[in-house]
Amino acid sequence: MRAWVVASLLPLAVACEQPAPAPPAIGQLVVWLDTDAPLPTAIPPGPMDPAPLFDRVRVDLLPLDGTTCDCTREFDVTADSMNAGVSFGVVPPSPSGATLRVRLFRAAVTLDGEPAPDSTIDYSLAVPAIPEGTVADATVVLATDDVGVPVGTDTPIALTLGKPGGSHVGTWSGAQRVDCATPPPDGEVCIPGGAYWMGDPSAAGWTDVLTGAQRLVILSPFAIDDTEVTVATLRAAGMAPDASWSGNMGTALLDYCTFSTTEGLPTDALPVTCIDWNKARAYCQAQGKDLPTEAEFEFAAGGRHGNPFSWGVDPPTCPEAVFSRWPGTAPDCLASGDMHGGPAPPGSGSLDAFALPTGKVLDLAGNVEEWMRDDWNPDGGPCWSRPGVYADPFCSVGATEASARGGSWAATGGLLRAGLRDYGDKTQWVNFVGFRCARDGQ
Amino acid sequence: MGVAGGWRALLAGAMVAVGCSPATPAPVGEVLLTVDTDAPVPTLVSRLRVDLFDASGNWFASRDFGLPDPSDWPTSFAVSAPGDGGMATVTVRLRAYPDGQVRDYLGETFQDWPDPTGDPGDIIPTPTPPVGATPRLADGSQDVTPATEPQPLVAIDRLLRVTVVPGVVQGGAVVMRGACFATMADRADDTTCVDTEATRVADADLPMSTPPPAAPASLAGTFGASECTATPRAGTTAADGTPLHDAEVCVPGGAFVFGNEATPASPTDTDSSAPARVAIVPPFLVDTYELTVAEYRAVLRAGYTGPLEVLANDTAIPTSASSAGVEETAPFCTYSTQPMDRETMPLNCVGRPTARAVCQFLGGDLPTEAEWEYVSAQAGHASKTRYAWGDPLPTCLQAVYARGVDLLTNQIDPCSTTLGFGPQPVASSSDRSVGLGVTDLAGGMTEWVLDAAESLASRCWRSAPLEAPSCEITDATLYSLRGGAWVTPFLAPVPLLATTRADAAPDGGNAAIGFRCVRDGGGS
Repeated sequence: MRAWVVASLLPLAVACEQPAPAPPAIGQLVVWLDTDAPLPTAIPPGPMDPAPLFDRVRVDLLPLDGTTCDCTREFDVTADSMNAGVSFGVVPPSPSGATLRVRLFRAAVTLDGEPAPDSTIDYSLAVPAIPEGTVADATVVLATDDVGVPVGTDTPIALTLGKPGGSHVGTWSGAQRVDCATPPPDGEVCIPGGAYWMGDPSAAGWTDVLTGAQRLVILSPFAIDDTEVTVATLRAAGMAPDASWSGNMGTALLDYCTFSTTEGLPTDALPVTCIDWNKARAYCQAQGKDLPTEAEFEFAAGGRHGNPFSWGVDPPTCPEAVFSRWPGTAPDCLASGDMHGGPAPPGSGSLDAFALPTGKVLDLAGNVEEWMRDDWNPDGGPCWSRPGVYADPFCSVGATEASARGGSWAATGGLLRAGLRDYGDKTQWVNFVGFRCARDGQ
Repeated sequence: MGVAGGWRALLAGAMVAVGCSPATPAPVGEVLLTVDTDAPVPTLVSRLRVDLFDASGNWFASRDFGLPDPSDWPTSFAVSAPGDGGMATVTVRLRAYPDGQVRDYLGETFQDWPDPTGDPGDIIPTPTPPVGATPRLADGSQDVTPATEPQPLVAIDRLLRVTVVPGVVQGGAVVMRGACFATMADRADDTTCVDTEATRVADADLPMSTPPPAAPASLAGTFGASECTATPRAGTTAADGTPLHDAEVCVPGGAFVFGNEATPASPTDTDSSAPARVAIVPPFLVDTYELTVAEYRAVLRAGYTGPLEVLANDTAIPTSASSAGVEETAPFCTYSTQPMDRETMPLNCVGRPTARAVCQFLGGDLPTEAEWEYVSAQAGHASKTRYAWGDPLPTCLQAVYARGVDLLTNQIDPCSTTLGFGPQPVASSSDRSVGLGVTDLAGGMTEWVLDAAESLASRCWRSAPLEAPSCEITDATLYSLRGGAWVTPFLAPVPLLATTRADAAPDGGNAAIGFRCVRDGGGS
């Protein structure tokens, strides 16, 4: 087996404004890092594997006597480097001591150059006095459960002396894959449980409800419909949406309501639109299922890794997903003069399929936007504003509005990102919103 | 502060060996590569991707190092040969790029700079190789190909060859030059950019020395940086004491990531902010304020004769409007034939030809999109931010926006309820850029800029050079606009983002559109 041989010690230089002369008479501290979080691995994780949750460390030394010190250092951490041992040297300011702030965070998610608090493990530690002329070891274990809640900010916590007793990278229980207890029926795909970052900082400010907030979410396994519920499927269940197809292909609102009680129309294979939340949920419950939660949908739509799209990071081009198909709005994904826009049969986008060994989930990015089980609640509201780790989050606050997720045929390509949020009144319907169902996988 | 108060360097740089099997018997030959860059760290370079190919072109190793601190450069790592440890030639592909700027890896997709001749609006597509295209990286039977690769327009891409001699440890040094951003290395003919923009040469054996050379001082940050040497105009007042708000700020030149991979638009839309690219912005002077009614009046007094496509409004601006869109019409124009109480408001209802001619009369021009985005999001900032003031989301007090009518409900937007409906005097919010203090870049008036409206994926932008890129098209149908306005809806504040792009016809000035000017900053 080929391997990258990593030096057993990966020393990191942290320099103050002056170069270091001969070793100082005072003692110094070698701080070793460890974490239970999954970190980037040399072998890229597949969709069934845990995604890395962090990739960078920032270290600040804050003298207690109020003096300032340009003592900030940032460096990458990987599973390999952490397993081999990551350490750095600290010469504590004498005599008043110092606070050592260690943050494990996501390099791509910063606010004004600082690690974003909601996705950072943040420890403030008291640097002890070290006897002159000696070198002491200390270990900081950054626990994933502490994400989003700074530890030791008011009263720095004590450093644990000694070297780490082996690496714990990737042992955090929340990130472990949990498969469905039984394989789901045909037409459904098991999404194994695991952990991911919910929320899309890259879309902050696109609408008033996209704040860029994120949270670490642990999900139990669930099964999700592999397609959006189609006209034929809904009709076969003896149900109907709020409005039916006009029979025309034009620009009128009802032209993109797809349902008809008549069998055999070209719209039979299309996802149902023009259905309110109550009816959509009633259909799912009649099947022994429910609407997916926002957290479940985003987990699947981000490829179990919190990616912008189930397939990766690149936004789709026209043939790759069903979007920008509003007739008469140029430029879009319809040929010039083509008035046959709207939704398309499931799987029409060549890239819009989340492929797992357990099956393929179609149209998570485009085609129709989908009703979610959650009551609508903004990022700053009671459901979503608590810092820290969320386990199987689901928002129920008695709201008259429900969440909706996913892009649609009426959206531009950038609006197909997995983390975008939308909502609507539970009793209202529009021609670009449909739904699919999900069920508990345990 | 002496050393007692700080940290002590234990060892500079992270040393990582690329090796064969740990069981390979010693002595193993090794090449120690020292890699530096002249690009600013971490603005344009904070990662180094390393890929190794054997003499037959087989890809045998890949690593990606985060090197976010200027003191991480130069960095060094060791390369040893695959196979039995005999003498071997290894092709090393180095790519230096910033955090987060990656695309899905679909196979090798070399793409040269596009030919600048042709329709400037043509979308230059990213080559899409067939699914499963080579090369792939395997470890035994396991496919370990990285899922992503650096986005080529924001990567310095360098190929070089080293020869590993058994039992010999030697070394060489290479500098990743910012001039090579966006010039992809071509693995098919082994050509690579070394130090000249858009120019590839045959890759060559890296000069070696034994022992390896000492690491030189880093050049990081020297690429694209230049002083602003011009003297900015101080603010003046009209004869009657009305402030003209004509002060300027001197903006030092620099290189930055222009555009944004995450954009609500479809990639082919003219208002797409993707793909992001590198822009070197030479130093320039920029108006601290949007051009005001009083300043336009002063320009007229100073002999400006036209064009004069500015709609005058000699009645008071209404304090509400009945439906969205109404507030962009004539009753909301700020200029009046005789001075009213709107002299310190930004001039609106102005066509682009007039805006540009006024700037030229003042000795400058409209800003390019690159200048506009640079001064909004990067110049004076520690890192590129979402808004001129930083990353926090806008509020009613932070920027003049949501002072019109809500798109969906046709009710007065919330900020106008508390702070007043309609356009506002310049600098009446906290909308000031970090460091330089340029006002109303996010809100106030949406601003005319120099460039024609084309996607950043268009030939016009893709063929524009690194330095002072722009998409200037004479008599274009649509021209670009930047920034939000007092009418920007509370529900859809996306125009306030520094990287959001919009457009209008040149005669499409309305009550939401104004402008500011730039002048030469005396740099290169």
